[in-house]
Amino acid sequence: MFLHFVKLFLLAFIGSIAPAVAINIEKRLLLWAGLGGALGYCVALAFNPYSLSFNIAQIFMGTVFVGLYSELMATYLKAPATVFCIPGIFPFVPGVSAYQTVLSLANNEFNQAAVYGLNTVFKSFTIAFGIMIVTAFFRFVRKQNKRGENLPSNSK
Amino acid sequence: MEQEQILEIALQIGSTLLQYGAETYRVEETIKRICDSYDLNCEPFAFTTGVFASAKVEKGISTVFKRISSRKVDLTKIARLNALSRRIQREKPDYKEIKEELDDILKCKTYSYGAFALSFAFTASVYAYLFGGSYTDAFAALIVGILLGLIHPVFAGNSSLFPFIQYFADGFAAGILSSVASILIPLTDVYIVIIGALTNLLPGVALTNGVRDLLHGDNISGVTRLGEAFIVVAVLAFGAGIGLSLWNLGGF
Repeated sequence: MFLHFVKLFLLAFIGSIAPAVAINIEKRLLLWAGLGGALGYCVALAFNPYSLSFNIAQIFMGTVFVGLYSELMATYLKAPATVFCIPGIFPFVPGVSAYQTVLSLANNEFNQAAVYGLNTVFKSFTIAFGIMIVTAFFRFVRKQNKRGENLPSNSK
Repeated sequence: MEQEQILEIALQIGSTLLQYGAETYRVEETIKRICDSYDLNCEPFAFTTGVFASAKVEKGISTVFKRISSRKVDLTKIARLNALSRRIQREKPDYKEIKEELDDILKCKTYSYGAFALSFAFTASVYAYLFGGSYTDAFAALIVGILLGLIHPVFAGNSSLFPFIQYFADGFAAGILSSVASILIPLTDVYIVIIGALTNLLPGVALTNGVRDLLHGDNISGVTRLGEAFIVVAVLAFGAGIGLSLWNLGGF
């Protein structure tokens, strides 16, 4: 079981780093982005270690983790959160079901296409939703902090 | 710095951000932040293929529009432009200094050709395995990925081709290469190898950014991004399908 996790952790690590290189991430952030993707993948995996195809709840937990990690690293390493988000969510992105949707459409299998298509839509919604919740929360906190900082200077 | 120059700088930074894959709200926020820091009241509007901003200046109302012809994701440029916009807000440097910094960002170096091909190879092989392939499938995807990574920049770097042709060529190459690999390497599943190889090219960023824009309330860019993602997937699948069936037609 432990080895299973280690293996998938490493795979997800490479699976986040490699696409990040293709979209030209800064070298100093490369390993950090990979770590976020690998940890997020393991969080999702922890809810059901026996299957590699995730359900909506697992994807949600994974992306919320990736979002949190990105926002924290953004403050710590002084880079926008997107830089960690995009490689981090890469293992979850339903590119394959998007491809299978089109493939089934081309093969006249409309029922299959509907299943894959809905799958794609729901998964990408879940990913975006997980990230957005964290982003919205952090923005809210930062706005509140800023207001708190401004108050004493205004009252002078 | 003159007010027109401020608007020009802000638009240039905004359009470059958009060109290299930033979300719509980030583009609009950046333009607004830069203008605000010089006390220029402006209204920016960004969508996927262009961005414009209008501001009230001394001579009346000034509007600048920038059209974006090609798009690709580049995280280094996004990070550095973001840092530049923060610096403008903090230090308010003069026009020439910002221009120099912008040119520097546009010329910032990318990973080498070989590293790019290797990244394609590793992505293809890892995802071929994660999508249920065996080790031989992963190995075949590794080889196909390297070749695809070597072919991809040839088409992607050519701005005279339509995006459609680029994606079609990529899909077609993936289809043919995977068929060849599945013959040369025994016990491989062509479909797993193709899916692994195409993972590099599938518009994952556009798909999630599209939904993010929609959730954020930027409906126009959200829907256009989703439309773009659909077209890219369709063309890739089309290319891969034609590649596969041509190969089968050849009687192999």
